[in-house]
Amino acid sequence: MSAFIALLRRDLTLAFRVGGGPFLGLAFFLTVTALLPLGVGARLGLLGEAAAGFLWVAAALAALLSLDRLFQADAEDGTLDQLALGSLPLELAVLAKCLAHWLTTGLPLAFAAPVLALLLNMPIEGYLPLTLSLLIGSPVFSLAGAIGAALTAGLRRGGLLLSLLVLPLFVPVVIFGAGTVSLAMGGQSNLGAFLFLGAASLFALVLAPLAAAAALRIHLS
Amino acid sequence: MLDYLAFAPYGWFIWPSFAVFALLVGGVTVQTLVAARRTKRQLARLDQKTP
Amino acid sequence: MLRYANPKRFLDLSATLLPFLWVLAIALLGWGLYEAIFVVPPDYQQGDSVRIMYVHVPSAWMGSFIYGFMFIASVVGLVWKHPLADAAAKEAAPIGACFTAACLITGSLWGKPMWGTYWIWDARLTSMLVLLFLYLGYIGIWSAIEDRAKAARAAAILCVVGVINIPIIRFSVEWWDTLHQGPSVVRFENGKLSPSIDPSMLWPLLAAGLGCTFLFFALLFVRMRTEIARRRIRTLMSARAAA
Repeated sequence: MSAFIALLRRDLTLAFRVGGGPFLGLAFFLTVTALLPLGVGARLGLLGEAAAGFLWVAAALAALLSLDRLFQADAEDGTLDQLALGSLPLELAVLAKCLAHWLTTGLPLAFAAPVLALLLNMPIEGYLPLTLSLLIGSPVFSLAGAIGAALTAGLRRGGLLLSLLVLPLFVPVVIFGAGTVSLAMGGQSNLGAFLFLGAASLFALVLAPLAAAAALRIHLS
Repeated sequence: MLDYLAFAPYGWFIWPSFAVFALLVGGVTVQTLVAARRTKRQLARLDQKTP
Repeated sequence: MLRYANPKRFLDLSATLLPFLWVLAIALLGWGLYEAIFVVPPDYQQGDSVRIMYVHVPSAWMGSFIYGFMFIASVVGLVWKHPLADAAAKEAAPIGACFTAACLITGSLWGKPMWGTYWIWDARLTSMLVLLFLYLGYIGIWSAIEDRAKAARAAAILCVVGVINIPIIRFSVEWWDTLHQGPSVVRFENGKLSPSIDPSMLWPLLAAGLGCTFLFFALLFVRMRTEIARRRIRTLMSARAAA
């Protein structure tokens, strides 16, 4: 357990000192949101309708952007070999890295989303479901993304391939995440969509570390 | 016959879809056969050189 | 089954099977498509455009079938670490991607006269598109990793993860489709394959589908033989370089 926490703390410290921590992801989130009205025109009705889906897509892209560094730096400097030899099972090491990734990308985006939704003129009923759904659903981005990051760890041009591998895995979460908001705005019950998001997160929590660790072992051997 | 094959008014959709099918499925067939022949030749040449 | 996993045995077996596979593939596919163009009567609702079904539906079948085949080959490759299973999965992928792409394009060409638009984001089209992405990612990872044994294992893990995800994607896309029914699109109500399909239309369809299946196995065997030959070339080259 202490090894798990040590790894988590190391990754968080690294994220804050080297990667700019959560601020870089937030800045990306904000910039992309600013591009939407510039691209599709500033009609408030249109923006309000598209806001939830767009913010979910932006969250997926923001997660994707940082994913290729998840194992890459550790694979290059040999930390990964040490992790594989250490007392902590590789699966748990992957989990610690995913948790650190989520704490620095998914979590801040969930809390920033209402502010951006305000910029996009989203109706007020959508705010709570948007934040809640991002909180529940965005761990899938870090977890499923870790599989892709592990498969492409150590590849020179892995970034683009990573997006191709991972985006199909993001499809269900984006659908149900944006769905919770549009159901709430339509005055319908969105409990089912929330339950699906929770189920997807738990499912990824169990399976993704196993698959990602198996993928990492390929590159280690 | 030509009138029949024009399949008006759907000919513009029917023939392109058959063409796309032929192009993709035929394309992968041709690529497979060309690669097979090239590799076979290369192997034969190597076998000749190394007794 | 593992008895045939010996490359030598596979070469012998595939050499005997290949002529039959080619003949069956060409005969069935040829007959099915001939019927589709010249014999099958136009549908009372869709007119002649129903002829697109004979290339669209077999492509859709093959797109899904080949991914399932790759899954089985990947699991065999992961568990028994057999290079022949890895080669089968690797060589099946481009064929599957071609069929999936053919399914999408013919589907959208069929959609224009039926739905009034080339593309609708309906559940089946969307999940087929995601399947194409899965194929492309699979091909991408094979070409990105140089070491063949490592590439095989990485691709196999990706394929297994993809198969676990396909039902989830399918389910979520269907749920999403009911959420976003486009009101302006003219929907084709009967579905593409009504169960009361006339035998004169069914047999050519089955023939085309079976023909595609035989064609797939013929292509797969040829490609696997090429792969084995390539491996021999590599060993011969390195042996000569060492000498």
